[in-house]
Amino acid sequence: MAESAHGPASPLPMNSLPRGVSQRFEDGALRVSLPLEVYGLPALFRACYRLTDHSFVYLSPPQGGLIEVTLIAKTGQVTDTDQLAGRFLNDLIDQRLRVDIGEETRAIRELIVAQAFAAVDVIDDQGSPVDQREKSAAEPGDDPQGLTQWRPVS
Amino acid sequence: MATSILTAGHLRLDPSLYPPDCVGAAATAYAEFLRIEPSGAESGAVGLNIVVLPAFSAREVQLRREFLNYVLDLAIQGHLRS
Repeated sequence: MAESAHGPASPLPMNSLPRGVSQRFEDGALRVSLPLEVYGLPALFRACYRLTDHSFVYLSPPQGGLIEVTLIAKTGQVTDTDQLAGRFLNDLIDQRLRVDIGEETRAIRELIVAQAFAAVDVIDDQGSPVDQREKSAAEPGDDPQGLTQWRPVS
Repeated sequence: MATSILTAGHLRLDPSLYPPDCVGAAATAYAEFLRIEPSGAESGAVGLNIVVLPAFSAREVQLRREFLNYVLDLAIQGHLRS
């Protein structure tokens, strides 16, 4: 790996990706082939949205489970394009993880939001959903947990 | 070495990635600078020629790329909302 005045240089996509995954063009653009099964479209869209601040981006029609992302830095510099491509590939993993975590925690997030706007408790102190039908059926003075029952001190 | 699609005037856009209404909205927004000519469907994708108006020929490639980014931004906003 080449050393620079600021420490070891980051590996650039053209040097670090397997042969055939990326392709350099005459105009300095870089094309990267990505498996949709690994990253998924939602993560790809989010990563591309951030990428369009600093580069021009084209998404090719997906073929055989692969999508090709062609990008070129707005500065037109090849080194900038390489750095943006590296950042984009890392961001893809980050976004994929965010999408997955979002799915995994969807139910509890919806409960928390529902609780925040609800007039009555929809979750108890332990974070478990409260069955409102069961709660409303209870009469004043009911003691389902036996809290008011006398117990001898041991 | 070939030239990338970001420099070429002819594009293939997949409607599932670039919805036609986003392309239409972008074409309207860029009507002062360029016009879009459909060139038929090619294996599920829509073929488009981006023709920059002669008054802006000095910025031809730049305008095509900006148009493409504009369409992509609109498309992604739509995808993330839905």
